Amino acid sequence: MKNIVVFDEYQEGDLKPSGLLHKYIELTGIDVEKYFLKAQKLEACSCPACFHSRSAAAFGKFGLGYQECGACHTLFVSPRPSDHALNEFYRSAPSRIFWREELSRATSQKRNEKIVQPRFQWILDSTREYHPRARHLADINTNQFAYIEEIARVEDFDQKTLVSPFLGPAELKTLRGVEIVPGPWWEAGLKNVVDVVTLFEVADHTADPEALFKKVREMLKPGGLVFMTAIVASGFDVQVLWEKAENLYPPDRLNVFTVDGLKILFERLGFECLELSTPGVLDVDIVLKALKENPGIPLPRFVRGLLEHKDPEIKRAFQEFLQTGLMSSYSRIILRKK
Amino acid sequence: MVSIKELGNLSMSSAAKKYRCGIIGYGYMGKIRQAVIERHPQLELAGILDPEEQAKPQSGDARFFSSFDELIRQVDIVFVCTPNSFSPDFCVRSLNAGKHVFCEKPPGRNLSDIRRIREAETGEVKLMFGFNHRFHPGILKAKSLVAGGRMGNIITLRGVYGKSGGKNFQKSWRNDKAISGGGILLDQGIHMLDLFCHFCGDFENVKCFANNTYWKFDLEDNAVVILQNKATQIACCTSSATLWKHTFFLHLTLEEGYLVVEGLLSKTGSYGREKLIVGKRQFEDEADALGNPSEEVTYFDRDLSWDLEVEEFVKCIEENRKVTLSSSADALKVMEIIERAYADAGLSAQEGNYNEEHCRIR
Repeated sequence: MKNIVVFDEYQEGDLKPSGLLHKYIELTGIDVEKYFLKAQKLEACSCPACFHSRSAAAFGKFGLGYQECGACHTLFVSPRPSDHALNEFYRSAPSRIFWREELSRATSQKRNEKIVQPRFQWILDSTREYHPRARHLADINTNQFAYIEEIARVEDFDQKTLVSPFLGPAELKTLRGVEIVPGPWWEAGLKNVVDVVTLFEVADHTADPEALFKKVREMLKPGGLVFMTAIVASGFDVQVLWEKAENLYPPDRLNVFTVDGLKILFERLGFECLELSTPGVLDVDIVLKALKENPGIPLPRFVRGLLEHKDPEIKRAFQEFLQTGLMSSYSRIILRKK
Repeated sequence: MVSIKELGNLSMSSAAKKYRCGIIGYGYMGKIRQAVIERHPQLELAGILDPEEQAKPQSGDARFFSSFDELIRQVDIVFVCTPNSFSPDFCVRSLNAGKHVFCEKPPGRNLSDIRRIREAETGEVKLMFGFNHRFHPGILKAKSLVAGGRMGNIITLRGVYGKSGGKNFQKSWRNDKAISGGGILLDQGIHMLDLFCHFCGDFENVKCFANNTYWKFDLEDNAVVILQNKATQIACCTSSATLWKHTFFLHLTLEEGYLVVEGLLSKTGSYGREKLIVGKRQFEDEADALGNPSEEVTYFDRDLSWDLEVEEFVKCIEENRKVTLSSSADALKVMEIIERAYADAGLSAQEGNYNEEHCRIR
């Protein structure tokens, strides 16, 4: 299994400007109440990674409660909405429309340069390395236009499929050479035909990750690859900020797996993990931003001194250390169907 | 070439033909080959031949043969793991007996040794050499990135491969010229030169400086080889037995960026954690030349090189296809470079004479 460390320079504000992010989170809180709390369609669950039945209440956000698994320490919302309810949320909630129409577009250039392009290069390079004969790529639930454009553009695959209920007429118009499966992933009829599946932060907001990965297995040919990204609870900024972590809210982060939890999940579902890295570059930046906005956040003096060190090289080295030790909160993963 | 994925699926082919293997030479490499054979579903160890009476198989129920003739009757594949001076004879005799041969590097002591081996090679049997560095994860990934083309053509290569000697270094057969035929360049530097060829093909121009300043064997303990080919690609290899820290470092400069393989997964871990750095060229304002492009570092934690190269060899036999990786042609190519390097540095691999006068002048 490989581990990747990335040195690049950008800040959280480049991808999520504070004003727009705050508005998005505020709208999400309103939508959670409307779509989930009032509808009362919540179900309790065990740890979505290791299925351990014992967990402890961690904290609450927007009226939903996060549990911490007693075995692998994955954070997860329980009780939680169903995948059907989540599907409706992501399709029509005003917060999601705001994300697509405003936040995503306002940051599209930087996002494309810093996230989308490197991510696709990773997919192309790794496919060439692990599965050079791969011809069919399928993406599940992409809802960002930049990704959709990139999928349409890449020429390394003869067949490209988007499984998504979120695509509007504008997106569909631009997608030449891409097959659309316009429903939820659990209804996709693809069986044993796909070489590569991409899941960009999809497992984070899926009510039943086990069902998702079983579906992915069903779609893949033997030896097929999965490229996925996820926020991880074992990462620095999540561990330090915990309930004050601004990026931790439902339903976008319904499951916040730990590195250990992910390993158990993949093993249990018949995937070989070829790469598990946490190449995040924003942990230190996120904690510093939170400290600036809320100086009362308790931190050990040494940690505060480290993060506020006047030499930027110290912070850079610390972020590199987090990546090397799989302790950043952003993960990228390559799996192979056994 | 066999992929890591295919190696993972080896068990699927376990119903395929089994090949009986013999190991000649039961030192460090012989034991490694025994483990690889025992892990491979299509290989079984028939027996081992080693002149050292105390050398006994450590695991399994392999026989211990008393003669080459006894071994050769029992096997389909011969693994030649002997010191350099013995390898050519065992290769030739095994090939002449119609057996497939996997021989450790270096392919003999000098150019005439590998030529002799090649003369015995026929289309009927397969011959491969143990240039396992080609199969190390960092090298596989780097090769895949270069082949993908997005980083452009290779402009230069720079490699450092060295060790510190050790307590028994002076007693090692590797430092007995009559047996080894060459010093650190032939023993360890050959891997780096082979990798240069793996990435860039032939090199027509060869320059070399060498010395034996510290260990004072009649073999070089340091060599710097500079190469250039028709495509004007330049390569520089530093091979050293006086680095005092085990070091492996390969830097490739390409038109669109650079690749660095650093560290090498090994049994002892003494070469450091194997990693591949991928950097992308960023032209900057010269007045503000930060020279600090974004990089991606891949850390590897599994060395499958021994298994992958043997799997490639087995596939060549199974599918009756030509050996194209670590072939005898590759072995010849790298031995030609070494021979020319020695000649340029005033050393001679063939005669075993160390021309000190020449070295001092250079």
